[in-house]
Amino acid sequence: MIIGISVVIVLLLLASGMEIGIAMGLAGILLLLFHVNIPISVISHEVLNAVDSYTLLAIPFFILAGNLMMEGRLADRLMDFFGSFMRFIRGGLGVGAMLASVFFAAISGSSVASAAALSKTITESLQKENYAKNFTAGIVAVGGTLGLMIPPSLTFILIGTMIGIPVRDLFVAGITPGILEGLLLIFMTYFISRKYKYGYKRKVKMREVSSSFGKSSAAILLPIIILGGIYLGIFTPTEVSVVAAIYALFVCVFIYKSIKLVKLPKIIKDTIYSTSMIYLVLIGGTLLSFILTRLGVANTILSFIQGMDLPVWGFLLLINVVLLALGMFLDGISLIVILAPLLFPVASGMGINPIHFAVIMVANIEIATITPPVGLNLYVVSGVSKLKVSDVVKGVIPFYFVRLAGLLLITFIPTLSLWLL
Amino acid sequence: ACGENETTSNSSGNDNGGDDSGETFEMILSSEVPESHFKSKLMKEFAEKIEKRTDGGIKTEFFPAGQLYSDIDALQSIGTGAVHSVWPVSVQLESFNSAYGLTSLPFGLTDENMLDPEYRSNLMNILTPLVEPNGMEVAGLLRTTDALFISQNEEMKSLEDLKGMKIRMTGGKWLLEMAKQIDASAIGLPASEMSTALSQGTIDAVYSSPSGWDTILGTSVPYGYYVPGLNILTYSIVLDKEWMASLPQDYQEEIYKLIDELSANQWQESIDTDKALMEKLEEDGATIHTEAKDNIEILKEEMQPVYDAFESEFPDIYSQFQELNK
Amino acid sequence: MFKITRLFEQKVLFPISIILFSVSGLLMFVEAVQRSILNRSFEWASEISIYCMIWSILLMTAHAGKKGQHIRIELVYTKLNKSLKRILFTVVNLISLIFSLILTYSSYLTVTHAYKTQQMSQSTLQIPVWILSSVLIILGVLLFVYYLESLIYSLKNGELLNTYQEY
Ligand code: NA
Ligand code: NA
Repeated sequence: MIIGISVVIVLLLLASGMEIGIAMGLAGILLLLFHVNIPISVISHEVLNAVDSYTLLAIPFFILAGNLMMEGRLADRLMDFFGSFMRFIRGGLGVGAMLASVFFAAISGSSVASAAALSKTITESLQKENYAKNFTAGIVAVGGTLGLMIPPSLTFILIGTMIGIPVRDLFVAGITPGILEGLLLIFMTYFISRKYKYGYKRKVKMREVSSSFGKSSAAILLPIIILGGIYLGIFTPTEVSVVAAIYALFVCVFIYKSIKLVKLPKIIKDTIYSTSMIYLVLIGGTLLSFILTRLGVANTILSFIQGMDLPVWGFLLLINVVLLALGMFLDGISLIVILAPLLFPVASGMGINPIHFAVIMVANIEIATITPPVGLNLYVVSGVSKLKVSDVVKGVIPFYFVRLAGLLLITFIPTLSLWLL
Repeated sequence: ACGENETTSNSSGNDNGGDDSGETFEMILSSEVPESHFKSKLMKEFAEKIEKRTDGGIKTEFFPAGQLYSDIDALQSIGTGAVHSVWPVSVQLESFNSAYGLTSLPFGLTDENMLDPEYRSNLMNILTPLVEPNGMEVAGLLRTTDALFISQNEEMKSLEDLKGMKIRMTGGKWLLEMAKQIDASAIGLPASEMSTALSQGTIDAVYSSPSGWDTILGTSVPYGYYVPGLNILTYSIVLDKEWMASLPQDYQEEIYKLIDELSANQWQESIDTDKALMEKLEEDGATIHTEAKDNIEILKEEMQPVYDAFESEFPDIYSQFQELNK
Repeated sequence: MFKITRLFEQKVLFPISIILFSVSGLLMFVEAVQRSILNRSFEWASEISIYCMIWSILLMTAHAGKKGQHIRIELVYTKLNKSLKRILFTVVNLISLIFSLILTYSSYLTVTHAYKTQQMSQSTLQIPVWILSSVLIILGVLLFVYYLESLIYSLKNGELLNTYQEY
């Protein structure tokens, strides 16, 4: 009964166009008002609780690092570097763009930041050659999603914070699946470029390669600092986020001189805006899930799913279908915030490794960000490229197939996620 | 086995069901450790038994594994009506009253004393007034462990050997004071990071329990140094004071009685578990140096500055504690 | 009146927010460097970093709303005509306004509870929790002003004060 009511309330509020965080929070409050024994003070207590976390601190600083790299146009340099040698095969520049996406994913924490940073440079360079506009937009939109799987990743930080899994372990688990997804995308890019004869072939000029490598080396060093720092345990993920931001600031201001120091307050301001957005969703979601737990809904769902007596593979398949369906309408942060507290206990109860489960969730969220009608990456790319959202979707369609294939591999081969741990 | 599912479906909560005694009282219990942890098991046992003993007059809901609150969050919510009982590590109560650090003074609590019911109840009489202004009441202490130092690379044979080491410790002012006397630097790290931090040399040692050693670290971390009684860590059984006062007299008594029963056995069990685990660890190849009895008297004297610091801050409390320990 | 609050947010709160953000980051950076190089650690550093960030972000959450930074699902209302939109947005802003009121009241309860029970922060700094959590009341009030402005705007214009524009 409560489950039914809460689902209806949440959906109505979300659909009303209310800010998502407020909608979830209000749903929680409405449910709370039904229950006389829960004091009103829990609302604000949970609001503070939602954001009172050391791990969560990594989110603003990774966003800051991403904003600095975007402002400092580090993506241009990466694209130049990959472009300098990739044309040795036909369609190579498209593949180079995908490679740049993989690389950028290793320095940026969010899919939207990745897509936004890469959008202009990839679109400009690919359209100088005869790549179709839709396809170009598709590459950017899909490539950006890798930012969520390849560490650092805001989604992993969020899951780690909410569920209490070490973020370092989640980051390490994301490396192989991220690279696998990247390879699948590269393969698809190559296949399509060949089929439609996009781009051209050109001999590699070593001087061009080495000069563009020199120009981009400070940017290329960044993922090494981030991944190395985390993997070797020199820094905690939270510390890495700050180190990455300060390094990016240093590179852009003093080495590339692409950012003037006076612009820093404006960049921090934008970071505060984006973080506010995430915090508000997190606050609303925490409030809702607290009330659902308190009313015993979480336990009811748990025993319902356990009562279905599904085999593990059946459960995982069901989770994928549910996440894909919800992912059409919800953004990744809301998906995590609402579902993670409900699903993780079920998954662990079934003996699924929570780290593997987190990777499955992120793989679904990556797809959600490029699935209409609500897919943030589609909107970002449409905004920058001036294409209609529906045209961006056309460009993305061929990639859905490899994304689904990747999702299945990640879901049913836990080793992919766990072997590096 | 008494109908947990009924509790969840009957959510409007304020109708009194079919009970003949009239009013029912809701009791929310929260624990941050998993359901399988002994503390959560005890809490669950408490919740089930108190329902039975009050014929359903107290209706409990227990949320383990941090589902509802972390322990510190639950403590901060005591008195709002959102939660009525939480059993946190005692150190956390220091953030309400630093004098509560009495429980973590070096060689402060001893197994011998704590096995004596009269001593325990007198101790509660010192502790409860400390947190009463915070709307809390301490109904008992559970034994967490008698902590020991565990290191990956350093074989430790005396407190001297700990000099200059970076040691992961649970916080608390008086534990930090103790670290200062040893000349070690105390590092605050979440338990989940302990293992990685040790193996990567971020820290040199951890101050933890045999069970933490066995389950989280394993014998690939081979060295232990154990000073019996240096710091017997505890969980405090905290109740919402105002809520307790609102209960009928006989319910209150049932609660105290049940807590006494549960904690009496627990202290001895914990001593035995610690001992068995240390033997097991040694069998598995760990090297544990246990400080000799004669040296312990000397070490107690070395810790005098900690007692002095506590005494100068809380003279009354300290003398009460001294009196009790005589 | 809304001009004044906007100006206050821009000229007073934003600089404070940017400073808190920077303090949070610099402190964390110092902590990272000194722990990995000097083997030293301030046991209070993470607490200060966390609370500087919480204050920095929550002070600006309402303002971010005015700038259209908070995500909402646009799918439904974009299909409506102007008069239906006016009704919908009025309702939406009204219940958001109620949310901010409940939040403010709840925050008042939480802060006074922390004050009455003399809660202190976990680190040895022992900062009173009521001071740290008082940002909740500020958040509630700022949100109230924001939704009030939105409500009046949607009544007048039948549109949202802002729509979600950029990430
Ligand atoms: Na990333
Ligand atoms: Na979507």
